[in-house]
Amino acid sequence: MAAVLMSVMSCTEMDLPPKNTVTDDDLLSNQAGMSIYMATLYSKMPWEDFKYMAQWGINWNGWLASLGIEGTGEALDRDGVCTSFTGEDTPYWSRAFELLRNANHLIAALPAYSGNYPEVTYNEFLGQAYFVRAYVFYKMACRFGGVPLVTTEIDYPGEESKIDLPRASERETWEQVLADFDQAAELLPVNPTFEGTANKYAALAFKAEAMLYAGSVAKYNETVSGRLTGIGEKTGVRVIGFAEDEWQDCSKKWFSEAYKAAREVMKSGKYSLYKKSWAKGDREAQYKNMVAMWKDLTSPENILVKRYEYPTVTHGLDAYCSPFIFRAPLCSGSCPTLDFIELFDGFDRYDDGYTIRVTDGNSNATGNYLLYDSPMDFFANAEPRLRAYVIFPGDVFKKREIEIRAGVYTGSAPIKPLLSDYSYSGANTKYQHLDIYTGSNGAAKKLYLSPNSGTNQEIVKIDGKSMNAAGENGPFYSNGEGNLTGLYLRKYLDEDLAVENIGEGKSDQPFILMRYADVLLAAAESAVELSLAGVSSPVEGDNMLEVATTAINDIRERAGATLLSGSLTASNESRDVVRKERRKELAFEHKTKWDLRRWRVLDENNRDGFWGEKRDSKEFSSGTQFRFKGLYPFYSSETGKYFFDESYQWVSMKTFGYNVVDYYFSIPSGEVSKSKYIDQQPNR
Amino acid sequence: MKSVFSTILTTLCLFLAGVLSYAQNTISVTGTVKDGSGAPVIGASVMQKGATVGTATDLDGKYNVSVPSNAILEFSCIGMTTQEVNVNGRTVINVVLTDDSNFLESVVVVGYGTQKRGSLTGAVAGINSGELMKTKTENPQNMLTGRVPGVRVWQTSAEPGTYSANMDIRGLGSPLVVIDGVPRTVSDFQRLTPEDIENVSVLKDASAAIYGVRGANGVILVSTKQGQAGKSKVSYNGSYTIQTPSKMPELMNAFDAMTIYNEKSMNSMTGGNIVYGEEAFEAFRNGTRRETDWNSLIIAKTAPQTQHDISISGGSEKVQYYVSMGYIYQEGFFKSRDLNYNKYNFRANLTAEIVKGLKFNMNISGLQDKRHTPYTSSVDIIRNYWKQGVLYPAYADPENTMLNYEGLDLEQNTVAMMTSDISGYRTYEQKNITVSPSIEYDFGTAWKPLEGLKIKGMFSYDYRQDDNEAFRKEYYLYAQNKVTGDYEQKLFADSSPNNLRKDNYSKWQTLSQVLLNYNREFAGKHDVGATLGWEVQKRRGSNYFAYGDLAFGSPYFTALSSDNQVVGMDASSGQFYELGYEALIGRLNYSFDDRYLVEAQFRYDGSSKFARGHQWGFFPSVSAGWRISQEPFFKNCAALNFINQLKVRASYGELGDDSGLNYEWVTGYIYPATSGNAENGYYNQYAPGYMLNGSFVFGVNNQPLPNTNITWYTSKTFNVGVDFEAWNGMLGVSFDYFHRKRTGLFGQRSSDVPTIVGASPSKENVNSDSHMGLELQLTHKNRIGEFTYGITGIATVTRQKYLTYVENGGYGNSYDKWRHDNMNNRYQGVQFGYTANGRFTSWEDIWSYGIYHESSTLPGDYKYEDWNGDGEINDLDEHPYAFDQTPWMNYSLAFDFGWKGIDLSILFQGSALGSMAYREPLYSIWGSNGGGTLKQYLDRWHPSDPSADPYSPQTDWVSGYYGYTGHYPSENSSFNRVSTAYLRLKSVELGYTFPTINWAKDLNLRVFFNAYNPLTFTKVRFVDPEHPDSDLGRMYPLNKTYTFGLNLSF
Repeated sequence: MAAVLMSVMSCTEMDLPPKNTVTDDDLLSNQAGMSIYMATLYSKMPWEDFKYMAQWGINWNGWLASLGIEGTGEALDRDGVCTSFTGEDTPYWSRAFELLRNANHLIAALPAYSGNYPEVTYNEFLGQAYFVRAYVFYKMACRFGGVPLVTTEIDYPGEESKIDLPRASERETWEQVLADFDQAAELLPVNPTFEGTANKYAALAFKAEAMLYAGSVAKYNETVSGRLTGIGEKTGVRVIGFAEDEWQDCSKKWFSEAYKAAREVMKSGKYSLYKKSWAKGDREAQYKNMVAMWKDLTSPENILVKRYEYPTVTHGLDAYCSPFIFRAPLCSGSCPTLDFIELFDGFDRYDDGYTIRVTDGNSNATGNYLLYDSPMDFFANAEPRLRAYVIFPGDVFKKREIEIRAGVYTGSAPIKPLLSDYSYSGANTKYQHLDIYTGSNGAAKKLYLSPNSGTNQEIVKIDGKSMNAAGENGPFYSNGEGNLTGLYLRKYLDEDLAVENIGEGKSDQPFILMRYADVLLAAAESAVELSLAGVSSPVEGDNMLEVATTAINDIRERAGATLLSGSLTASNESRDVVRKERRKELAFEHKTKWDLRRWRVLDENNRDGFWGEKRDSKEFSSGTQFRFKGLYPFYSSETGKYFFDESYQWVSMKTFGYNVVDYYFSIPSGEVSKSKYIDQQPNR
Repeated sequence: MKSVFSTILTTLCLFLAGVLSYAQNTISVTGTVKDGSGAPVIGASVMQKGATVGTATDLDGKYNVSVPSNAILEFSCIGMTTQEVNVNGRTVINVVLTDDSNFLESVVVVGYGTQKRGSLTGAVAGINSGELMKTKTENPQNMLTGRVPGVRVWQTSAEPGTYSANMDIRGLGSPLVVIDGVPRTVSDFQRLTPEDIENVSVLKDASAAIYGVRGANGVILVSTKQGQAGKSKVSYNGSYTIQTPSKMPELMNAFDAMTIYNEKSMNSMTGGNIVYGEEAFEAFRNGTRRETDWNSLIIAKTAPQTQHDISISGGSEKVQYYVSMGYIYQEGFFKSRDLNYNKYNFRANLTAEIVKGLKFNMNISGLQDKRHTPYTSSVDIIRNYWKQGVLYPAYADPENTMLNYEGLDLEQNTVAMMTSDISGYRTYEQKNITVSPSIEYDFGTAWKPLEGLKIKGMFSYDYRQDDNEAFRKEYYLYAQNKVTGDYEQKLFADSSPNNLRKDNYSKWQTLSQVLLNYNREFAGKHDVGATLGWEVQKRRGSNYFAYGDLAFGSPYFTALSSDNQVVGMDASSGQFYELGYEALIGRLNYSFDDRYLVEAQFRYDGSSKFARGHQWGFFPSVSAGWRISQEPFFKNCAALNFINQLKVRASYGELGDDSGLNYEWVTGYIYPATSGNAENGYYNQYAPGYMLNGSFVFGVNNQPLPNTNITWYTSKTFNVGVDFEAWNGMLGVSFDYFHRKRTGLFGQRSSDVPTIVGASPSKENVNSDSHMGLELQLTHKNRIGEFTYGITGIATVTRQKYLTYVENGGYGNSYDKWRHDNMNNRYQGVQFGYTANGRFTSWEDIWSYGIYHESSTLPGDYKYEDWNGDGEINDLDEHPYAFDQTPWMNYSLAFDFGWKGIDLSILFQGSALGSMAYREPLYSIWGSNGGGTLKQYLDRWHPSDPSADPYSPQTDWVSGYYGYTGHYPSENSSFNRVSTAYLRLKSVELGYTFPTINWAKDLNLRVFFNAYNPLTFTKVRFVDPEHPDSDLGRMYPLNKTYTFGLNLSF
């Protein structure tokens, strides 16, 4: 009996490998395995899309997904995530090195499998690793300046000198970015094996973007008071900024590289601006064309796209940013500002040239309000691109008229501006504090506002009919979930998504990581910068300023904006034309916040350049603080017409701040104290 | 051991004697069996020793048996000392049986065997069925609470079917649970029918070393009942229980809520304002606006529970059986009644002697249970309704037919969330079957020199299948348009689309075991015991799941729409695994003259979790005891005669634990990579793959850097104890000191591996900690006439100290390390914060207070201790002031009384030296628009005139527990972190056993009433002190239960 039992038991296997482990052989030796490796690399890329919130950093969290809310002035959100881009809760540090290890491992291990693939495919896979590495170094350099250049898979444990590295200088870091993008562009094919990964032109386009950043930083650090540079304490390496004798050469070189890369993409003829439903002179068609382009995967403008697919892999943009009436359960996360729409064509202005006219006086604080039969009349001539980016009060979205109304004014016309002080120092005055609202100090009640939606709406009796004081979408002064600025985001929202399908994790429109317009803008900006620096065209036969002018005009034409009256010149004014165009075209694409950093226009002294065009920063800021305005429609019951008030956004009172040190994020302090080599930023 | 041995010997002698004296006359013997008090003993067994002839005493204690005139009669009854009487031709034999108060002779189950309690050398505690059953609850784990020294059980919630309770031995972590000799899980123990449990033994020290690599946290050995030879006995136990929540915060009414929100808004230095004016109050008064009493809409005052089980046992000398069936139904407190649980158990334990000396045993058991919950978890339901506040109606219309969304937090209507008919459900169904045949042969029956040698072979097969289902159902909510008066409906976004998910998990394990046992006494003084065994175990788990959107709201896959259909697998190591274990085990016992006891054990243990060459480990232990009371000098001293037992004992052993490991030695990747919230497309998490060529391709997870040297951690445990018993149980004292040091705990030197390496460091055996503690048990048993009683007091203190924790490092300076490194050389759970220094009681107090305070300080605000004396309160004043939720000390006091048919048992139980902090809804008003207004916040400092400016020194104040609304204490202070010390009446049971009736002498009927958790003394407000602060206080409550039941047997 015992013998039987013994024999039963002796066959128990003790070498039982774990069931879900795979090896390099499984992944690198064949194309199916490579798709898994690629999926791994790309899933960890520091893309900034619907699953990136500047406040949180690279942690792929799409909760509260909103666009343009990080103090760029594009939009406002009521939540705590609406703050200046001065750092990230999860600094992009350890995750970067994790991904670098995966990329470096591929570079090291793939040669063993070179025989398994045609040369072009082998090169492509290698090229992907370089592309990933280039992009990671690029995104780290934007944040930190110089970073440790880990270009091999580090053996651990190992010799101390080989397992930890100091930060390279900022210059070396950008040179590495350049070298890796060049290597990637050389190895990558035009048509990648896996759609969704980078091809040759994606590498070039991102190279242009990165080099624009590098060239700008080298140049505009000099505009920051006291020069923005410094030496690491532990290593003596110039971890941020550039030496006095090197910044000019660096800047010129990198702008040249940006220009070359952008031009190579342009010259390939593979891409063009999306104009599928565009028609000359047809504002409606132009507007609709720019609404359609975000979801159209066949767009000739798309260079690299991050796709989603409901229900497998999703985001929640529509759940967080739709107008209040579609709340599910959140909404109104991205409300564009007045300051932002002032960048666009098609409005009457005051004498300063940019403030949109709402009264018949000299400024929005004087004269009487202009009256409109319907709010949309105010926007009758607005640039079609703006209408594609922003939902105006009274415009249609998802087949519903989006009613946005701050309140009802029952006094007689003409109507003087509601507030007594429209300057920055009066920004805390709120409509609900006005005597004509509260009826205090002997004033008669003439202003109706609603603290909240539904049963909390104040009801105004007009000719025996009832009217809610605030519009269906707000703004409601006690509820930040309603509209905040009088405007809503339209860009990237999925108009075709049925209302009942709006929800967290239910959106799957793609995010365009790189598109042709970006390349045109990079070409234009580097062209003007090179011209300003007196550098001749790095591309044989190019008239750089002509290229830039055409690029801007192409974008403007597609946008339905006014074309340039003449050619761009080697001047700061022309540079600002390009910058402003970039701010407009690439709004809500997570790009502006980087542009503002590289132009070094966020701090107090340089903030006049914040809007791309020159504006007096006193108008919207004081010291390190700044804030943005809304455009608030009111209904005048006496006249049956609408008027607009321009005031600092008054529902959630967002105020932003920025200091010079914030141009370089701090290195996570734990990393500094843990390592013998890693330096903190010298100015922190 | 001695008695076992002598029994065998005597049996053999008698057997021979029986053969020789075959010709003896058979005579009829009658008599009465009484107990010490003179009362008849009913049902006592009267057997001819060495034969199958026997009977039981009747209601009057009388018996009648036919035996040979020279036979020996054996009188026995559970709980009484067995007596043997030579018949010697007598026809009337009256016997008085004494109480078996000397439980030293009782047998305790230990690892791979049994031992007499008196000869134990390790720290082993035992509890039998009778004691266990004095606490009435559905979970046997909770029945252990306060009954076994060193065993800590704390219940965290009473949510039906979740069995939310933590259990450890001496604070050592999750113990190994062995049921009927097979390592099983805590979950298996929780689901046993309490009535089926014969006894529970707890191995607390080195005595667990025989379980080797899984024994480091101690072992709980559970034995189920076996049949007894004799008349078939049918037992039925049935009970009905009324549960009530043990502390459940409630929401205020609308008027109070508005007052509180007005206060919150008035609490502004720069001028506050009233949010809810008189018109709002009036609107609620005159019915224009309707409030919601969520408390009564959601939470029922009581919830029912019933429990029934029936068992039949009996058998002949050759075959014995115990079969049983059990059923439990428990309902939760949600008014929808959609939170509920049921469980069916069955068991058949059979023993047969096939040929002489060869015994066959078969244990079969099975269970099926099902937990049903609303689609939304109970935590979220409670969280949701607390956050709603009461200012918006649950129903849009006054007739209460349309559920409202307007004004509700995230537009979630809690009534819809808790109702399965509206929003769907989740069910968790488990089926479990265990089959375990064994065979045992006694060599002594074949050849006398081999007497005492037995071999036992056992095989067991356990299979468990879990079927979980989640059905999300679309629903609409309504709101009235104030302008038109119409009701507008809106699809509740999170409920859409209809979706069904099913998960199937199957797990099985087999265990094969061969044990050689030897027990023999030589020369009347040398007692030798030895065990040698070989054990092999295999465990395997697999699973799959499928989900899809549904075309319409029917909870079957037949309704699948074409969207969103996914089939997948949970590849985590807990659900998808194949593991092998092998072990050689051995034990040697020797006792000299019952005075000097030594024991040595080992286990040579192999686990497939480790790399080849690192799979095997050796885990030895030794222990020794000295029964001073058995010494001749002791026995001969009349003055010491009152002492029944005085024993000192000590043990030391090395044990291991491999539970935290998962193939850290393997190089490679884990495919597929996983991440959270897959069911919602990972929208708020890392997506573990990428869209390539238009479809989602999973990536891999990088393994940490491999470590082929990884192995189990080692736990060295030492125990020394004293057992004392005197006056035949009038006083019993047992005291233990223990110390355990664990080295080689798994740690990752994340602070050593440079971040730029880009890989997480491998797990290594680098961390360490220690536990030390004291255990004391005092017992007193007595009988005064017909009144019997017993008192047991237990107290245990355990301190855990972290010694090394390599993850922590890189501190800037020593202050930084002191302040933030809670894991190196520090006691468990040290909490830093501010300590209280009273409250500001008046404006004068505020003005004259010497330490800097905010200009917004109001009467009622909190004063903190200026710990470093620098004249201001800042984070440098934070210092260690409390420990965490896990209490260091546990104690209990149990009373048992018996008088005639009445029995009463009372258990007080408590803990001390722990703390909890109030979080989120329990810390402050948590919500907006009148939400989060739990009643407790009314007890606050506030101006007697609600419209008065709180910042005006003229304002007259009313004092309260909280500060003025809007001013809360620092979360990190002793104002907010309170001691969880409590003393509670854990269980009280009153029973009455009816006298036996003449026409049904075997009928035994007892009725009882039991209250569980009825009374608690604690400083914890609003929630139960056992309720953890983990779910931010929003967890389903504990319950108090009141049970009526009966035990019937015949």
